[in-house]
Amino acid sequence: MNAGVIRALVGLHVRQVAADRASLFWLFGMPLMFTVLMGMMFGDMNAGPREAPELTVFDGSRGPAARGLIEALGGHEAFRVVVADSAGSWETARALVDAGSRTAALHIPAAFDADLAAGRTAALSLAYDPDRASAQTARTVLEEAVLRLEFLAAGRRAAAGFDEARFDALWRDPRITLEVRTLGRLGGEPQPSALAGFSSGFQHTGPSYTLMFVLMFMLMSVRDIVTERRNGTLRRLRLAAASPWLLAVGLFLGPVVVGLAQAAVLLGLNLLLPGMDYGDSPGALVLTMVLFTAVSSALALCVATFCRTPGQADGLGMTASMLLAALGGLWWPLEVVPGFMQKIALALPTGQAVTVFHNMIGRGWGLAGNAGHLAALAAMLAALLALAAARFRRLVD
Amino acid sequence: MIRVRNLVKSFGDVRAVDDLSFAVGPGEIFGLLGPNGAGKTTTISVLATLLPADAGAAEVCGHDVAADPGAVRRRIGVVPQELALYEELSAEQNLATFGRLYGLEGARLKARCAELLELADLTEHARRPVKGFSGGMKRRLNIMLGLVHAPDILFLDEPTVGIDAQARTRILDLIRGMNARGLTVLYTTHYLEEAEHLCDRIGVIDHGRLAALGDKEELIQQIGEHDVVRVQLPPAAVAPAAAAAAAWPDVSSADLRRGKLEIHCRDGAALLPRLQAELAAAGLGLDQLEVIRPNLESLYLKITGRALRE
Repeated sequence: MNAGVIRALVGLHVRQVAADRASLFWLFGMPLMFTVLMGMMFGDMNAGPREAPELTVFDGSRGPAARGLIEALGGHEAFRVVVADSAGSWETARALVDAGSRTAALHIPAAFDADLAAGRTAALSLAYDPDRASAQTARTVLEEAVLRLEFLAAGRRAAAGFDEARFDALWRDPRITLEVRTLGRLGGEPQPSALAGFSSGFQHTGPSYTLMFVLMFMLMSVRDIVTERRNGTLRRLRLAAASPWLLAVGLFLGPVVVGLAQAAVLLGLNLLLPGMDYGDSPGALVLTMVLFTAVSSALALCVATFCRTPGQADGLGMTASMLLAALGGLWWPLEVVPGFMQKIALALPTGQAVTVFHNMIGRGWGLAGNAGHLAALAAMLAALLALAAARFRRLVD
Repeated sequence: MIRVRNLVKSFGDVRAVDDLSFAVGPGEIFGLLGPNGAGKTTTISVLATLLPADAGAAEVCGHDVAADPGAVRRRIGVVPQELALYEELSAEQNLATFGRLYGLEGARLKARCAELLELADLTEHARRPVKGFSGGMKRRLNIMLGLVHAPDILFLDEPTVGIDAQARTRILDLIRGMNARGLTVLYTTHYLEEAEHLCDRIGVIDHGRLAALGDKEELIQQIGEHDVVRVQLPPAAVAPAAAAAAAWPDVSSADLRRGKLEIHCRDGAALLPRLQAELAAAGLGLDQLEVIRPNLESLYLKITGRALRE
C-alpha cells in the first residue's frame, strides 16, 4: 500500500510534467539550446577554418625537461607554439597577453630543470586572455603536455615502463604545478590549476548546463507545490496518502525521477557533441546525478515551505537557481574565477557536482577520486531532507 | 455515522469551533448552514482528520478522529470548497490518480473511474484536459474525486460556490442520487435554498456555535416563528378588521402595515376560512390575500441577528 502510494505520487508528477508543453521545453529544449550555443562560445567550435592561434613560450631554463615540454606542446592542431628568442620573464609574458598581441604566453622559469632534477616541484606560469576564443584550448594543450612530460618521466623512472601506482600518484600530486593568470575583463587573480584536460567547450557546457537545468526545473516546480497548497489538491493528496510522511516522500521522489530522466536525455544527447566524453566511471556519473537531483528536489521542497504565494515561489525559486548556478561554476568554468569564489563554489551542491564532472572528464577520476565531493553532496542531501521534514507540516496543514 | 461532542478548535485568539455537538445518522443528508467564517470548514477539517481538535471528541463511522485517523480516512470522502483538480490532466487521469492513492489498481480502478465518469455525466469528456471544462463540469468532477474509493460518508464543503443555477441544480440532483444509493452526506453551505431543499436535517452554525438543529419544521417550531396573513382591504375597513382579528384564537397579533392588514398566527392556512367568512359577514370585499410562511432566511435572521450572506 505504501509503495503504491509513492508510485501513484511519482506517477502524478510525471504525468503533470508530460502534459505541459512549456515544461517539456524547459526540460529538454532550452538546455540543449544553451549547451550548444554556450559550448561553441567557450570552445571555439564554430570558428571555421583559420590560422591556429599562437602560444608564445619564454624558455628561461633551456634544459632538457623544458625542451621536452616544448616538444610535447608542438604538433597540436589547435595551437601554434612559438618559442621566443629571449628567455623573457613572467612579466614579459603577461604584458604580451595584456596588450592583446598574444592569446596566451607560457613562461618556463630558469629553475625548472634544476627543480625537477632535484626532486622538487617545478612551477610553470601561463597567462591567457579568456575573452579570446582559443585561450581555454591553450591551457588545455599545456596541461596535456605537462601530463605527457610527467608520464614519460615517471615511465623512465620506473624503468619497466608503465607503473600504474606511480602514474596515479602523479594525477593526485603533480610534480609540475601550473600557475594560471587570466587577463582581460575576467581579471588577473593567479589560480592554481588542477591540470584538468578539457579539449572542447562542450565538455564544460554539456554537464554544467545539464546540472543547471535540472536544478532550475526543480526550483521552478516550487510554484506548482505552492499552487497545489492553495487550490486544495495538497490537502486532498494528504487525505488519500494515508500519512503526511508518505506524501512528503512522494513529493520528493516525483521530481527526482523527472530530474533523472531529464539528465539522462541531456547527458546522452551531449555525447553527440564534439569532444564529449564523461570518462570511464559510469558509477561516478550515475551517483553524481542521483545525488544532485535528490539535493535539488529536497531544496525545492524546503523552499516551498517558505513560500505562501506563487509569486514568492517564482521569486525565491528563480533567485536560488540563478545564484547556485552562477556561484557553483555552472555558467563558466570555476578555473576562471578568483580563489575565494572557488571556495564558495565548493560549499554549494552545484560546485561539488560540476567539480566531479570536471574530474571525470579532465582527469578520468572515478568513484574513489571523487569520494570527497560525493560525500559532500550526500551530506547536503541529508541536511536538506532534515530541514524539509522539519518544515513539511507547514506545507500541508 | 458521525458523532460530535463539545468540539472546540481555535486559531490563536479566534475560536473557530466553540463547543459544537451534533450527530448524523446513516443515509442522512445533514446540512451545516452558516455564513462565511461561521466554522463550517473547520468542523469538516477536524472530522476529516486534517486538523486536530483542541477539546471535545468526534467519531466517524465509530472511529475516533484523533485516535484512529487512518480508519476514518478510509471511510470518508472529502470534497473541498476549492476546485482541487489537476487542470493539465484529463478527468480520467484525475480519478485514476486518486484511485491509485486509495489502493485501487487494474480492472477495479478502470471500472470505478468509468462508473464515476458516467455518474457525473463526463464520459464523453473523460480524456480531455480538465482546464477546458466548464465550471459545472469541474464541480462535478471535484465531487467524483471524493467518491473514488467508495466512502460511506461524503463531506461536501460548499460544493456549488461560483456556478450558475442550472449547474447547481444538476449537482444537487447528483447528491440526491448518491444519497439514494445509501451515501451519508455532511453538506455545508451558506445558500439557504440549498439547505432547505436538499438536507434532511440542518444545523445552523454561527461563530462556531450551533444555534439551532433539526429539520425545517422543527427549526421553525424551535424558534417560535409564525405565519403571516397579509390582506388588502378598503382603507376604512382595516382598523376594525384588525381589532376583530386580534381577538381570534391562535392569533398573536393583528395590525396595519403599509396599508394592509397583517395577521400573525400559528397556522395561516387554517385561518383562511374564518377570515373569509368574517369579511363576507361584514360585507367587505377581499382585494388581495397572501400567506407568508417563515423560511430559513427569517429563521436565520432571528437566530443570529444578521442576514446569512453578510
